[in-house]
Amino acid sequence: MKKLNNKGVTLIELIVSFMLVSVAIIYFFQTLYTVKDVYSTARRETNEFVIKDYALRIVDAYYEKVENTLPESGKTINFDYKTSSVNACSGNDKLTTNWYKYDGSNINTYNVTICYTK
Amino acid sequence: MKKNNRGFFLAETIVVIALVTTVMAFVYPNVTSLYDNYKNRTNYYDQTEDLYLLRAIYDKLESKDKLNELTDDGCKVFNSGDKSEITEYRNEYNISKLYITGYMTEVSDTDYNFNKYLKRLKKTTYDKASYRLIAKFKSGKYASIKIDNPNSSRDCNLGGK
Repeated sequence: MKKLNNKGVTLIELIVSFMLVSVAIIYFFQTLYTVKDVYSTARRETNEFVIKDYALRIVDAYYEKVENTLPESGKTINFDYKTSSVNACSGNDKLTTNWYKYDGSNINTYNVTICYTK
Repeated sequence: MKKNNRGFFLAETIVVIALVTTVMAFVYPNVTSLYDNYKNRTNYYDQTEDLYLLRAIYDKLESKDKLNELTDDGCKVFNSGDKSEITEYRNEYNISKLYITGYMTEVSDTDYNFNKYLKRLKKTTYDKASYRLIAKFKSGKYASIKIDNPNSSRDCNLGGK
């Protein structure tokens, strides 16, 4: 059998290797945290974007093609996501956004409350 | 068979750790930049309500003949870097910069974050006969819409075509 190397490790070598390991671990955990954050928020943010986009399209079409007149600027418009109905609200969760529409002389601003169930 | 009981040398261990560190040091900035892009796209770029506001501003510009004034009756051709600044409506809607430019025109700005947004503007179709309305909001958000509505009362359709 070959003779064992009993020299051991010097303090400097030990410190250097610990420092290198620490740097690698810091980067590794920061990367893991970023990936976890994207994973946990992406679904919710995409859903909210889709709901908002759909609601504003329906509200826009409703006032342009069904009502033909716009409500008073500054008014809050409710939108029920489940039934796609304007001026209705049945879901437990709420999402708010703004909607802007030019009425021929001014740009009207509305607060839109979207009711939906997660 | 003779067994190798020597184990690893410290030097070998350090080399492996150094390699892993190097890989992580390359992976981390890339993941961070992907994450920044994702955050910008979901929270700051082209938010639905901002697009509706720009649409309303465009409708107002069109109805007040301001669009024709800014674009020489739709005949103006925006070359690379050209943009016309619109000073109206900015304070009412918390907009700090509002530009009209060509749909295919490459534009830049002195603001670093705005410039980043301008660089990634999507040109989904090769369309020289359209304009683009671009806004920088005071809240740090950015949005742009394509304007491609031909108007028979104009001397030219948009983009000088």
